[in-house]
Amino acid sequence: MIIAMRDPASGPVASVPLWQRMIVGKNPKVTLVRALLLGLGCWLVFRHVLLPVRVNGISMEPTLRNGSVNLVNRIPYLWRAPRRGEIVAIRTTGTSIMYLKRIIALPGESVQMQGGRVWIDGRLLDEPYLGEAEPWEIGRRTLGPEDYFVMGDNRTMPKELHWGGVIKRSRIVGSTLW
Amino acid sequence: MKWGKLLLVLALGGAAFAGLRGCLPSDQKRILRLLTSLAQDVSAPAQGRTLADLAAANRIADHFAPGFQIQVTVPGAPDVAVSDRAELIQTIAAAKGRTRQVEVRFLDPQIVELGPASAVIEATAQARVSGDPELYVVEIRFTLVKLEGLWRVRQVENVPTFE
Repeated sequence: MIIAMRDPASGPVASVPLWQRMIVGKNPKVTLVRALLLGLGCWLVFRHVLLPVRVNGISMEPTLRNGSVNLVNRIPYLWRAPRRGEIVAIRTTGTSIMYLKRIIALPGESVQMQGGRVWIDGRLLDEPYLGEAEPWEIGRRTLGPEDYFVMGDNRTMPKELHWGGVIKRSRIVGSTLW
Repeated sequence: MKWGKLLLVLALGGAAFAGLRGCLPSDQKRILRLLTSLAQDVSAPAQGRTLADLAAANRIADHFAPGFQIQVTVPGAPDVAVSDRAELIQTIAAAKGRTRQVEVRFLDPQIVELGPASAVIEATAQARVSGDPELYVVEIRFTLVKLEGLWRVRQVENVPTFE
């Protein structure tokens, strides 16, 4: 089927097949420019702003399920510090593999774990995201000006198999969107 | 015509430069190739034949300099502490004989130091064992030395992510 388009300025009719119009639009050059801009935009967003991640492991269950997908937002920490309770992505030597952990204690605070419960500056921390927990014990330590204490939400697993502890601010890439 | 000749000269010059870089790689490229080769050799499946597996273990050991030291701790996996070539070959051959296939990759290598005869590289080691859903991840520091023009690994140790 051919759709005839009348150019009001010049008069002659340009014939564009329907299949071509459906694939590349009325003007292929404009379509190409739009596609390039869209691709560039996606590259910028998903490479530098919102990093897609797939969760591997059970250390953050039930909050983050093994195999689930999430996005790490790098923007907020450009102008503010990470906050307690936020789930952050922690880089290794790069961002190909990152740890997802929750911030438990902030710089300058003292943190301790007794019987699986966290104490910040001598006060018991309320952790509504926490279910049952093994009686982990972590000796009291005071965090430096660039230190954050992070831990996973799944504390039903043996402590020896659970990665967590003190990280530097420079290792925090961003926070998860959900 | 003048611009055409200039463009031609620039194009030929660029091609020559690219060719030269390909034939004479920098130390950085050589080191990264060494790590890639090491990961590939470690990941190669066991042949099930003693001599072939022994040859594979020797190929892995060839990446290391005399007097090397490996001290790596991975949660959920046995610690690795080896400092002798014969012991390394024996450990690798035995591991390949009893373990299912292991796929090892060194991701995001970062060159911390690079000198004319020594270098320090940090990378994230990722290992998957066939049939095991667990993904083993650990940050590793490689200390390398240049011996007779070839880069070799002198030391392998953990880089703590969490203090």
